[in-house]
Amino acid sequence: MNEVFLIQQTQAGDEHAFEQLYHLYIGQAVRVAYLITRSQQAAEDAAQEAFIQVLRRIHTLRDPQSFRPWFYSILHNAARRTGRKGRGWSFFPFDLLNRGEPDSQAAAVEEIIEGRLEVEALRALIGQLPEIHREVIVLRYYAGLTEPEMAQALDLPPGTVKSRLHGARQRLLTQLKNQDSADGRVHSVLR
Amino acid sequence: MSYDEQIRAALEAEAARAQVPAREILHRVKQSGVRVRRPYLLQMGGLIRTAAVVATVGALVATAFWGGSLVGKRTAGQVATGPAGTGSQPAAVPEAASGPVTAYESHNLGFRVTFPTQFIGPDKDERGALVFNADNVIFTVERRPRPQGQVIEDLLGDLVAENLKESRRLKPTDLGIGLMGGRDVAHIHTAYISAAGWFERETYGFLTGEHQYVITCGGRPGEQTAWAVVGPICGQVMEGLEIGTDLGFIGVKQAVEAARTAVPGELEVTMVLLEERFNVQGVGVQPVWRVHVIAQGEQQTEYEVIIDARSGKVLYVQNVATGERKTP
Repeated sequence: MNEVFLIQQTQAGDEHAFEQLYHLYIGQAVRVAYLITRSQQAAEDAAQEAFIQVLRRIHTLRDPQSFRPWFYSILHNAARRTGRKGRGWSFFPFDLLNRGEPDSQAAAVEEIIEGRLEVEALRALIGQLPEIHREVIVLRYYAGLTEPEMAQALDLPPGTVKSRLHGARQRLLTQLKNQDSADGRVHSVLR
Repeated sequence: MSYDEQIRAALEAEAARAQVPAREILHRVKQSGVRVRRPYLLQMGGLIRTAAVVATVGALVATAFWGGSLVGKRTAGQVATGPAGTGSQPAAVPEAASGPVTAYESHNLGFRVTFPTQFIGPDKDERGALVFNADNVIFTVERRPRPQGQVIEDLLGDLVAENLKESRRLKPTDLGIGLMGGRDVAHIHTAYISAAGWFERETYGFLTGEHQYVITCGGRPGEQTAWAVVGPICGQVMEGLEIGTDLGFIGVKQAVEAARTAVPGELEVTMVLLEERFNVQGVGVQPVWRVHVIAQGEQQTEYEVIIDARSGKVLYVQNVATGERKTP
């Protein structure tokens, strides 16, 4: 069913429409909140709070087309709050023990392995980003928001979003480079 | 694989670790009792009735009993701020009190509270407490006679007993006596745990010469409201509550301003507490504001700024991660 229609029906008080809207967004909502908070419990709490806020405030949404950034704005704020309750985030588990030198002689296989290692390394490094950088990376690359939508969701000027995103990417690149230099490997994305 | 693709793959791999208990979350959302607000016109009848009741009761309560004043957004028929009353002298009579308020001042009691959302009030409940409410959250301030010889520990005990009396399942999860606004304050956090979820509230109590005061924030009585809804609002209400400003302490806002001068750059203030510290400057017990801030930038850095509550002077700034202290 058309998302805009569901939003309009929800605004009119149709609980069935709200449930359909809920099921459209809940998976992505929990995962985005998990990426921001790093905690299953905090992610569930944030998603729960976000949908309660949707019920409470959807009548204030003028343009149903802008539901997506509006929702992520609510979710992002909820995730910040619930994430801070617990503090002491657990960083992504990153099993360095499995990261030994690839012993395959085949270049193609090595490339695949390196690609996987890079993804694994990125997982760990994204987990160590400051919150303001991690948020923009998650919203851009996981939630798939455009920069203007991110600006709306984060309540920031577009220029600030752009510079934060650039800063986050640069930071990841630099740390990848440092890590690989320490490992004696050259990272494919830096070649 | 491009760099962007690798970032996406990394995020997807990590996000896949999250479980999505969609049914359970939906159940909790429904249990919150929050419903979509119907179009405005459908609510008008209720709003008008509420406004009329609150206008009458609020005017009487705010004037004769509390000498309070409403501050903030004004709506039709809402009170104009009256001159402050002192001690047993109430403030001048406000014309009416109704509609949303963003702040409330009680000159008799010496408290001011800033609301994070549009609270309605004040109203008065059967015990004579001032009640402000917004959606599923209530905030009450109650004044009662102080029994002879009562000390703060007695009040704490009374508050625990009252909560247990209200419901056997409403258990204190955190309680104690602390210093707030220069007064000993009994504090209880209670939780009502049911199959439907959590119902929680914060209660503060303190004593003056003849009275005891009880301040509460939480879900409406009888309603099970998720702490995820109540908690952030109560947190903001309590942070916006200033009492004992007549004792010569600087207020929350001044403490935050002092913290901002001590830590340069863009700051997020996450916590403001009034505490007692010992021998900070070799002066024994000293009331201080502890302001917890996060400096934004390439790397977020957490600091605690300790400020003399009387003079407003920053005593030191401590880096939370390293423990390093700097004295301005």
